[in-house]
Amino acid sequence: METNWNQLIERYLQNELSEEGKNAFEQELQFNPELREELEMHQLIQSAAKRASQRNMIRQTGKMYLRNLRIKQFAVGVVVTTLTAAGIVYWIQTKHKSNTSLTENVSANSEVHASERNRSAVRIDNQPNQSGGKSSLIQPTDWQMAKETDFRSKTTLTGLKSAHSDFPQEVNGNAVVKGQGTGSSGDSLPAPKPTVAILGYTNDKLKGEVIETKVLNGAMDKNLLWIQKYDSVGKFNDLYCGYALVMDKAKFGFVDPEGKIFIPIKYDQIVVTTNIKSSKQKNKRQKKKVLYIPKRSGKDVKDCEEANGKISNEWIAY
Amino acid sequence: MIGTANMQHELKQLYRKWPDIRRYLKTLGCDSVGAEDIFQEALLIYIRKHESSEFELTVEPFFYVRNTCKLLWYNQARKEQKQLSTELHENIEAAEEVWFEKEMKIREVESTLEKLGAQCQELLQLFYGLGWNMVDIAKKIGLRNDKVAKAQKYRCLQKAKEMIQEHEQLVEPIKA
Repeated sequence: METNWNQLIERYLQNELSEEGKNAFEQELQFNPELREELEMHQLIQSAAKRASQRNMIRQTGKMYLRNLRIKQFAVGVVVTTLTAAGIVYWIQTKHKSNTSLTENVSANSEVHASERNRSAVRIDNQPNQSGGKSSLIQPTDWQMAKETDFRSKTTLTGLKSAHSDFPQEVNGNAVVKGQGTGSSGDSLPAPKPTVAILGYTNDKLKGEVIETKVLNGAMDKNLLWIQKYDSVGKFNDLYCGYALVMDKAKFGFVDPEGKIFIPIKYDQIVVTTNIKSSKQKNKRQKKKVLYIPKRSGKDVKDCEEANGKISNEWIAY
Repeated sequence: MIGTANMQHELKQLYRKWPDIRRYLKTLGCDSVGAEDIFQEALLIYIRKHESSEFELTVEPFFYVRNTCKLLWYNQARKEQKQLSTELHENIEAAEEVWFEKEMKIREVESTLEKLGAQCQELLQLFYGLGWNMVDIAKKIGLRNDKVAKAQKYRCLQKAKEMIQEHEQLVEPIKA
């Protein structure tokens, strides 16, 4: 009998009963508390079933939310990792390429400046750190840095003349500073063409650096052409006994004022130090080819003169 | 009354606030496992409330859900005899309503229904919850035809009633 009630209740709730049937059912409902209870329970079950389905929907939404969150986190993780990896690879590559690419960069720069400065050869100031520190390193990267700073500040003079031809007269001891236009060759200038200021360093032992400013007529000294063979040429410096540091394809060497190679250009790094032995010990494990140079300052410059001719031996000996 | 698709969309929107709610519930002293149950229960109450025609939302859904979470948490904590500040306690008493109590009763029945067989549960949910017709349900749950499904539905209902009566008999003495 109960099953029949069930069917009736169900059909009543689903609104499937006919008009008469519905009325009859409602009448029965008034007089039959059991049926009322049954109906109530039926409704409860219906609501509960509905609620359960809604709960399922919410659970699904929750799972979707979590899944999406995970996917997002995963995606972010992948992106971050990729970027980091790419960054590292890029960094390594730039580090490897730094020599070539930076040189390109610099040469581009130098073009700009050169056009400003009448296309003179560009020379970069570079000398060992003279103050403090027992030793100083010269590496391709530092070299580049020096270049760039110099370009920015434009402190270095741009023209350059190897002082070789003039040295003999100047070694007499006095710094000769000549202003533009008053140069020794000034009289030969037919018109005030763009001039090039030129700096040279002698290895004058008494006065230290001798600066000579000279006015040149547009064309460069033929003797300077050798400079362009190298990526970069340093000053002729007392500290190098009058030789100049040159860099070519990230290797260092030294040239004499006439552009002849003094120390072959094959070193990765130059170390200027007071204590060559300990420096050597420090760099023992490096695979770089290092040239050690005794650090000279002040009075030691004298030794330079004395050792002249033997310097090559002295340096290379290490 | 809103469609299932709309409801799902709204649920998704609300679920995005879950981290906020979790934080909020934690400040009330709820652990993170219980927090998700409470949050889902609150969402359930929200969508059921949403279905009744006289329900008018006076606050943003998020705040409604958050408030419901608070209510549910205090209810639960009271059952578990946890120490609560009296001031908050009174607030909850005031907020209780007939609808809420009825909803809790339905919830009890719901948990009883979970003891039914999986097929019964799915059948009842599809029929009463999503309003599918018997032909589709029969296909979905692997019954021969709609007649068999209908007969199965009555069997499930009958079983559910018996279980609920049993449950009440078990619970009544404790209540008294």
